[in-house]
Amino acid sequence: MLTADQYIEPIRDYIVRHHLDGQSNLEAKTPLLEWGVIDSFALTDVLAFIEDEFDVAVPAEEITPENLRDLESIAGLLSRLD
Amino acid sequence: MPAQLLTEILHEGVRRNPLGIAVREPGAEITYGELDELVNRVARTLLERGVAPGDRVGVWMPKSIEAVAAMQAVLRVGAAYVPVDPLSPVARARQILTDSAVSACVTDPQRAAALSNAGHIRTLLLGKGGTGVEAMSAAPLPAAPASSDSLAYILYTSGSTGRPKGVCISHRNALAFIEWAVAELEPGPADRFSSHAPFHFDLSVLDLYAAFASGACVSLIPEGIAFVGARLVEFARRERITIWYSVPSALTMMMDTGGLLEAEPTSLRAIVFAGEPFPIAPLRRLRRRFPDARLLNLYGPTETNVCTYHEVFEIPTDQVSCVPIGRACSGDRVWAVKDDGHEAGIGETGELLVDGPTVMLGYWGRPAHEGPYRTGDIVQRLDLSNYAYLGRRDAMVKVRGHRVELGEVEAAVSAHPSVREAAAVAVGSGPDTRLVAAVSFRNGSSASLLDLKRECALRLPRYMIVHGLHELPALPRTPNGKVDRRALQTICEE
Repeated sequence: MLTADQYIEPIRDYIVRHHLDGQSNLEAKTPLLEWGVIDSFALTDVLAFIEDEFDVAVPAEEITPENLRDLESIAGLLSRLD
Repeated sequence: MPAQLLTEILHEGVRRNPLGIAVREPGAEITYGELDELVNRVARTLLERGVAPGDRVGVWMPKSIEAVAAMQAVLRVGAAYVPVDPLSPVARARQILTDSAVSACVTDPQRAAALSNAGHIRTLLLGKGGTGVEAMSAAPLPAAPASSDSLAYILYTSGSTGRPKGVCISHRNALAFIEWAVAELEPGPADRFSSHAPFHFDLSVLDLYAAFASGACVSLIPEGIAFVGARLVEFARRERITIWYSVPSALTMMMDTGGLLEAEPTSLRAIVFAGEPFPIAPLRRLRRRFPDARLLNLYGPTETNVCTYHEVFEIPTDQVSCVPIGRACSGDRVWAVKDDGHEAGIGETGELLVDGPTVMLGYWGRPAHEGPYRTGDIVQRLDLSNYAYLGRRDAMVKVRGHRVELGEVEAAVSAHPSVREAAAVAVGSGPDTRLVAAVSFRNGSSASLLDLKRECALRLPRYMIVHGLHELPALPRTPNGKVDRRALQTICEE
């Protein structure tokens, strides 16, 4: 069982490098969908990273705005799925 | 007699297929009979809260059975619905709800809390933890006073002024398109429509109403998987979708990353697309993969809904241009006008004009629209009645089917205090189209891409948030001092 930070750090790093300019300050509560950090399109890529990195399958019904709101909610989702 | 009001469409579905499934969402479904009752309950709750015929009512909640019921309930009380992107920040939602002067907003508890902090907007809660509409009677309501020219819904779209622009659609406008779509697709109770577009996007009108008109089922695609190729393919197969409707970008994703072309045969009998040109190579692959399905290219800005269509048959291997937007439909008349003001002849190009029953009432809060609608789209007249789309007159671009006014993006980015000067360009094509802000910062200051995204999110619809930032000491200029857009495009494409 990973801690919230152990989920958050790799995802933060991946999003900042691949979907931001590499230097933005992404916090655990920065709204990812509202601010267009991951749009519905980038989501494919981020989901693939998450499933690969944490060796988990995210069921379709869990891919909701609530679960993807920010890094913290993604971590919450992953610990529930673990 | 043809329908006069949009409310009659759901009544028709209830008559045809009372026990059949009307709407499905992940983990839930509702029959026509049950939906009819839920709509009556929500409508009574709206009346109790003081909503009156002629009012506007916001619907700001996740894409769901409840959201469908809310929109229908608003119509049943003789009011007009204003769907708001469920993922919009509260500032943007409030801007739209305030602009359209809603008398109430149907929402969920979490969003209602955000709204209450942002000023007074009366809310009605539906869904998880919502108010008990169950206490209300499910009996039919007396017909509300509305006519075919009454406002049915407002769809907010990109405007060039920085103020949101609400396209006002009447019952007659919507029905003209729906009746055409139903006649063309001939759906029946056994059909399953996909609902890919969000409800604030005009593509969603076909899915919901063509299904209701025929007692068919419409299956809602959750926002989260809307562009996740593999999930969409799995969804289409699991839900046994027979009529698919989306922007071409979604279909391209299904082919490129979702394995649509390799997957087991599906139940699709019609694949319908609109909102942006479909690149010819992936469309050819789609045509070959589904030789028995009908492929329809629909065209029309939000202001006129679908006003032309083209059915795609065999695509020659040497064809490099996109398929035409085709000929007029929905009872409309379309023609092209050249720069000299005369109608374009065969082979000539001009701006496409639309006149007929689908042309909007006008923009909310502005004078009523009169006469033909000028689309701003440049077309070539191919023969007596068919047209091909060539491009735009202005700086409007399309990002996955959504209209984006670059000037509006520039204004939002420029609102950041560190920005001295900014220009926006669209780079890439098809599903890979990205908005890049070219920015020169004030001396000694700067901003991250995230800062600029936040600035956009507060002012613009989500699809207009910039994807990239390109920092420059100064924007390139033409000899007469204007921003050199061509040079910028080259710089940002790199």
